[in-house]
Amino acid sequence: MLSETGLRVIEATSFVSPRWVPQMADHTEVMQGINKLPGISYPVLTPNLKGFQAAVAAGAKEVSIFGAASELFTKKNINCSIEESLERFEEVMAAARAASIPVRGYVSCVLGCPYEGKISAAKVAEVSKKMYSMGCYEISLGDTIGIGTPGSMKEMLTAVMKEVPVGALAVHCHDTYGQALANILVALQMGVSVVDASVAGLGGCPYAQGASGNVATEDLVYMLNGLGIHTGVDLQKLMDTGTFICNALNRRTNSKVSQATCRL
Amino acid sequence: PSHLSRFMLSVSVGLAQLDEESKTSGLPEYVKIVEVGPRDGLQNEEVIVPTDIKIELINRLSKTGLPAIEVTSFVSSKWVPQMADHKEVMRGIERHPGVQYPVLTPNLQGFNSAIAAGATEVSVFGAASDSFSRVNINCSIEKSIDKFEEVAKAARNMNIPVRGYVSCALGCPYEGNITPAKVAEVSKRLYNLGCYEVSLGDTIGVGTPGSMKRMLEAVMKEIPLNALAVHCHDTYGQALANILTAIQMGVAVVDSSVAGLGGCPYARGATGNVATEDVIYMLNGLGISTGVNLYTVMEAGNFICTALNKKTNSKVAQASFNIRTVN
Repeated sequence: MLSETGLRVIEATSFVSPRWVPQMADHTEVMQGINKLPGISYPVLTPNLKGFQAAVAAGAKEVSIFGAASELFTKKNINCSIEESLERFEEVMAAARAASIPVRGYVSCVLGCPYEGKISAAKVAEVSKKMYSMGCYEISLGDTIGIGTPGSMKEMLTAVMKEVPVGALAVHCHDTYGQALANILVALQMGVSVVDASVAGLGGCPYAQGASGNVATEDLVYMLNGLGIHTGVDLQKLMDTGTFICNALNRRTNSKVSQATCRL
Repeated sequence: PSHLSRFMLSVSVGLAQLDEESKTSGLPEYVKIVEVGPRDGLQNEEVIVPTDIKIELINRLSKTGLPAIEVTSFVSSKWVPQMADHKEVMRGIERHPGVQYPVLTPNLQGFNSAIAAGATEVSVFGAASDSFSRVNINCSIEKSIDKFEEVAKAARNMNIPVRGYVSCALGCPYEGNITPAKVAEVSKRLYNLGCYEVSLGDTIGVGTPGSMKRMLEAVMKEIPLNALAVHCHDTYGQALANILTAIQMGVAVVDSSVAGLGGCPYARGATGNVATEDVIYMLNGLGISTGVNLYTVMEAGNFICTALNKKTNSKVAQASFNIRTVN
């Protein structure tokens, strides 16, 4: 359904061990089962070479790797240092290069870390630069715990934009503290033109029980429409998709636009 | 407790920018928050709140550093049953020095009643939409301004400040699109009546940074910036982005509601007012001072939500009170 909304990039699944992420255990089936529409990218997460190879075998044409601007977060998440994680990614980069597969890089904790607290903008810039230099065509800067505000977003982007061209930057804001759209607005004002979002705001925050996580794609598109910024996305079809998945999950949407529109 | 340590985390992250940001960014150094939860918020909640709970809420809010708290509305209880106890609430609350306690007074009768009950500031509610005005207060914009003129005159004689509200500033549930020119015209009328401040309300929350900017540009041609406030609803999730836009344009007064109290009467189940906690969180992060202690506001929010048996609409409160222990 998402493929019919006008969205041009849809992150399909993650080629990680089902032991760690049971929800993504069916990655091969999903990858092989979806309708891949022309003009749409279906990137998948590949944390290591093994995952990369499984992804390519299943038909993936674009992959993503997840770094972090926090040592403690990296340690807790994948049990190694930032430096070591980048070395692992280098294997994926080399294989991807050889297969002409584009790689997107994510940097987590760019505006704060659940373990370390404040994260310096310089550190985010450093990790972003490394991943960009390794060959990632785009770096998505993630406010993993949603703690950022327009103030910290501006400071962080100012530092990162000294190292990575703004055309290669994306923002991935979480709405855990309700700041996502304001943070995205600031990023747009600074020239960022790629924004990650999740239909119906799917995905809570593992660090704050009951709190929300991803910003809702519907709410983002509503704002961009109001700003006269073109996205190519049909908001109604997007909302229909959100309704579909929320019904399937038997849960309420996290999208305010959806909540408002469906009840008028 | 883990929620306290998490709050300290977010405060320290915010405070780190406090001095730097506001000096370099062109944003106001201080933003006045007008807390409308006890009136606008409760008025739009389905559960009727007992008088003593209302008073307790306002007393708690008075201790947070909030400079202005909208207490109640002197309207006929036939129209607004939630505000039927306006006299008791007005007389029952603690009045903290340095805190304003405005009340709504739609007409002269309400004004007189408010003064008798001890009010020292009043508000009048206009609209940029004629249809909305007719449905809401049963008269045209023009007629409503005449009524406000009476209130303003009486207020002037008693040195009582009057705040003006303009509803439907970014869209109307009946008329749809509202022109910035119309908003500017109504705002100017209210300002010329003697309102010291005009609060521009996105009543149904349909506005976006785009429409906010256009509307403010028109209004700012007619009214000085320091007499402007924004009253954003979060029905479509746009409130903070809209408030940010307003602040970037120099607006330094923002209305909000503790715990985001007050749904939207035009979209059942949808949210209404933006949550004060979430606004403060953003302003703290921008290095803009408000004088308000975020944690005590969250506690007041927790109090009223418990009394109303409902979940808070504030994302900051949701995140802060539910932090899993991170070790």
